[in-house]
Amino acid sequence: MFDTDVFSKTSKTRPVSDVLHIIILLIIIKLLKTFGLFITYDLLKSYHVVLILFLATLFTSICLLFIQKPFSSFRPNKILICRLIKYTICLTIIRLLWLFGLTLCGPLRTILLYEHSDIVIIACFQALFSSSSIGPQGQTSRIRGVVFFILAVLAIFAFDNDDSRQNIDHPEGHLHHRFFAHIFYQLTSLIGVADHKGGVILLLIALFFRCGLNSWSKKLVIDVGGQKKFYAITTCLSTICLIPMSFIILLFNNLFPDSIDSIRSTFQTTISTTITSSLFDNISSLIIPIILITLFLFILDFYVEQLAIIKLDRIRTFRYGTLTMIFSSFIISFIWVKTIRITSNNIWFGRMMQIEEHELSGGVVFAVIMFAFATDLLISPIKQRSGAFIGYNQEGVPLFNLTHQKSQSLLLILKSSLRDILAESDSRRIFYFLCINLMFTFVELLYGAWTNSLGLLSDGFHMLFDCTALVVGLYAALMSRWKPTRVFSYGYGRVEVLSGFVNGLFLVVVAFFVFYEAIGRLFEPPEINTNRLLFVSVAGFAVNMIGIFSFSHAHAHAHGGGGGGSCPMSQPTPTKEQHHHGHSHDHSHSHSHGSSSHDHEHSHGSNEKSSHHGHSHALTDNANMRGVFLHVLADTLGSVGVIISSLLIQYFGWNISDPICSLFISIMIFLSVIPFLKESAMTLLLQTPSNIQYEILDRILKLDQVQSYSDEHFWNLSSSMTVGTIHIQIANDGDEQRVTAQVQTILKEAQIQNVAIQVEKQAFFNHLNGLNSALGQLASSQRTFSHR
Amino acid sequence: MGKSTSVLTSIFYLVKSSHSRSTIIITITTLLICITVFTMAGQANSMALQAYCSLCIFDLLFIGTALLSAWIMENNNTKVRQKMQISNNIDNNSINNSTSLFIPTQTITTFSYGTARFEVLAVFTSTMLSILGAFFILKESIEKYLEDETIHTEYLILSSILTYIIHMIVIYFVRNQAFDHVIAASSSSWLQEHVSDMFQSVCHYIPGLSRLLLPRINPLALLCWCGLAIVFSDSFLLKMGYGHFVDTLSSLLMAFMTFGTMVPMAIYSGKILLQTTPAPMIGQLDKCLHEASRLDGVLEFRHEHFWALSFGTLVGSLHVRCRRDADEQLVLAHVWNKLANVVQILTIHVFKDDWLRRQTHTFMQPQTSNPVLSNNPSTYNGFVVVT
Repeated sequence: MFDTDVFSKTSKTRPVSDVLHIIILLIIIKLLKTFGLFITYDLLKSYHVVLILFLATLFTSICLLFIQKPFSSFRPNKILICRLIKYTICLTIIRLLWLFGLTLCGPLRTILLYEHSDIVIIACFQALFSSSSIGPQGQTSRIRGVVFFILAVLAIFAFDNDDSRQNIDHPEGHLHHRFFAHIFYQLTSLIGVADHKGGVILLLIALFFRCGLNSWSKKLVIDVGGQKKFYAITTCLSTICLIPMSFIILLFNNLFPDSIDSIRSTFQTTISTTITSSLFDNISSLIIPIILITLFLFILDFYVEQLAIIKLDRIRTFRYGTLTMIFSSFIISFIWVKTIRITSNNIWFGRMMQIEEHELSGGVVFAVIMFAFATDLLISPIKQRSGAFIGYNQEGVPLFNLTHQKSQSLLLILKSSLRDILAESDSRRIFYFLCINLMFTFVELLYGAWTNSLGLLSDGFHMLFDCTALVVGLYAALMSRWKPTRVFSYGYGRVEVLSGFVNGLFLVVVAFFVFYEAIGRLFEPPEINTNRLLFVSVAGFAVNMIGIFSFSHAHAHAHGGGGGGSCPMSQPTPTKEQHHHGHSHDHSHSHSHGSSSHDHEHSHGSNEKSSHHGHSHALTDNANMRGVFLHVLADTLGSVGVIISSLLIQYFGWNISDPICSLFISIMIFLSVIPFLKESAMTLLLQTPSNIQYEILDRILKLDQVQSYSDEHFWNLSSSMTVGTIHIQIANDGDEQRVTAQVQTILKEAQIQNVAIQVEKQAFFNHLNGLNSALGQLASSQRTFSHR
Repeated sequence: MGKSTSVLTSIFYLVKSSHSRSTIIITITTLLICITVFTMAGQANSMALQAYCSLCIFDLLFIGTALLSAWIMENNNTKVRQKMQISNNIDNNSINNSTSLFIPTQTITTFSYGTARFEVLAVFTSTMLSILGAFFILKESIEKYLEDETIHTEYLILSSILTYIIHMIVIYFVRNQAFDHVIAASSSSWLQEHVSDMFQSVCHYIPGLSRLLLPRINPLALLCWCGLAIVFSDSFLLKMGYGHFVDTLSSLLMAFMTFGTMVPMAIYSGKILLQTTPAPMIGQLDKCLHEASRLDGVLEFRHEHFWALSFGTLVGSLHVRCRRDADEQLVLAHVWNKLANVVQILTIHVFKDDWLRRQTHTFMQPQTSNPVLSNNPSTYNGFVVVT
């Protein structure tokens, strides 16, 4: 879509001294263009946008018709004309947007925002969206350029407080822009930005639109036959396009003259277009500047740029052009504002200006610097084209793979991943709960935005934040089913343990921050508005209860033989506290919650009993699911706390109850997460599982001809798999394969699936001595033989 | 009561011993500054400051990791010393002790691979905690932006400078093997990459600076510098009267920087925790396996599992299918010899197909060794039917 050929054309660059005159010419023309823009801005203060554009394009097309004679050798066919007309309409709209943006933002900001070459914008998009196509070395500078660009736009948008503009009561200060402006102000007031900011948005839209149009029209240019001819034809067509529009504008201005001032201005404009010759004033005030604009903006700029592109190259042309315009406009605006302040009446019109000028601010200065950097970084060509080196062909020429990996369409990826998610119960459960949670969050956010309630909005963000834990869990559940690879030789089963651990850490962080906030509030309890809080927290509680029930089902099942004491819910302290807490404060709510925790204890009790029966049950305890469950549990605790504290505040007015509640909750979350964290950490640290009995090793020792064992390592890979490796020393006349098989059966009985057994005899050490191999790690097993 | 006194005595011991005194002093200072700075951040009500001050908490975690890795070193040393003593004892009275050595100790150690992996987990935990903290700050700052409270700028400079000083002291004066290794080995963060890219172009003009700037800068120090710059500009802009937006923006930036700095380290340590083969070792391992597969008697390798136990220690297990007439011990020794240089803790499982028929096999061996007869299928007849 975005052609990268632009960058590859830069291979031949001439030395600067050869093309110095062209560079100077380019710079002068760009200076004139900047000047022309400033004139246009002043002109636009008293005349309508469409009118100015119409006159300018009219003069341009007259000039171009004489210079270029485009229709002399033009063979039109229907399709071509159709395309040309489409292009022209787009071009006209873009130009109108641009000029309208100019009236809103002033010339300096317009130049800063609009006068970027297509290369810069395309490079921006490339860096943002197609990261794989460019090598990593060029990518960093590109990304930096994009960040600078965005910062600059942001600086103009947000940090450039044009205070003088904002204190106009009636925003439609430009009386003659009635029709357009009215719609536009309606729009901007709907979004809620100042009109200067609206202008920024308009200019950006125009810029992107222009880039898209230019890259779209590349083929059209070739079909028509050359850039110059194309430009001439489209300008003529655009003039024709603008004729009806400008007539409509004139009509409107004649029909609805609101105030005296507008009558006056329309009077002027009407006269200026219809009977120009009768008033000499208007010739000097309108025609001369428009001729200047035509020359500077539309003719000279175009021709010199074309020349520079041929003589220099695109990149250098655009770099010098853009940089010149940015800095010159900066300087000119500095002078311009001052001169206007001094004279305080306009040069061309001789009447007082009511509109305040756009002044310089820190944001603009920052934006100028940032734009300069961004242009420099984005326009510089990437040094190396990425191409994967494959090897050499038969003649010894290196081969590169330039084709990129074919990216799948987003829809296909979504479809396949959705199928994967729904394939298994764990991920399906997380997914459904995630959907419910997200739905609730969005309803909350929308409602909050609608009623303008901060509490709801921040609670919605909090919910969104919690959803990330679910997303982590979901991704881990998906990942754990991937096939083993070269690097992940044991498969991805461990991802679940790690994600459980991360979720645990997440809860620790949450608990810490809640604790910190609560301590802060304990000393100065804030006033809390509770009327909508109760409803929201009850709704959140209900959603979380769904989660708890769906996950606790899995949880209770999963807990078959996982070592009873390690379960967070069976830990006595948190449940008890929960219970006490509920009973002492509030009855109706604690009842529901208390019963739920009772349920849990019951299920755990029974499970513990069953786990005492036989340790031979498979370990199906899933750390990932438990992490998610704990997270949901913590959320539920949070909403219970909110319910209790809001009730207390509502009926008793105890504002202090809020921090106390959050203190309790944070401690409870912390206490409940600790055992879980400890367990998953132990799995990650390759702790020997507790259900491996010593008697296994005894049985191995009692086997025929086995003398000793060493280096015994047993560890849980994930919740369902145990890996073991062991070295066994046997007598010299023993049969290795028989011993291996026997040991294997013993280990299989002990639920160790992935076994590696190294059977060693005295001969092995003799061989190793012969091979001069290092015996460092075998010291313990060798001892068996050396001290016989 | 007893517990507290033991803690006190251990602290007393730590303070008395000269090598750890500086660490203890730094720890206590960090703790104090952490509390002070967080109180200030709470007073100032500025999320950017809070984001920057969370570096203090990271410092605490950093010190914890340092202590842990020091403890592991000490542990290993004492173990080696004990082993030396035991072997010395054995040499002295080998006859007396030999019987006891034949019966291995009846306890399975809880951590059969030793405590080296603790370091990895510590690094992972501390990086992950700071990532999650940054994430939390991201969310908090959006909430704060909605709430629109006033920010007191007077605390900003003081507490950020305090944080800066303590962070620099901790990073450069606490010896931390685990983090040093991770910083050196993990891929560089985006912050590092951009800064090195910028410095490269600076050094293009001023070559003299290349010694100072060009190698990768410590990412934690870089984070600190950038954070300080952000907080300063934030306080400047707040004093200029630009409002909350600046504060939110700078806290977002801080959070993203923390994120970018910590993610490569978390990925590196997380990959070790996931039992993966470290990428730089794959080439070497492949070479060794290739050599080993050419050895006499080796038919194929199965279930090759090679994974990093901790920073720089490789553990491996391997199943070797060997020819039926091969000598297992010889094959084992040769394969071992090839791999033992790369893999520190190695288990090689040698197996043969149909080992139960070994008797028949050895019975038929003299016949098969005869080349003329081996071509005749009739001699194999019974054998083929059986299989």
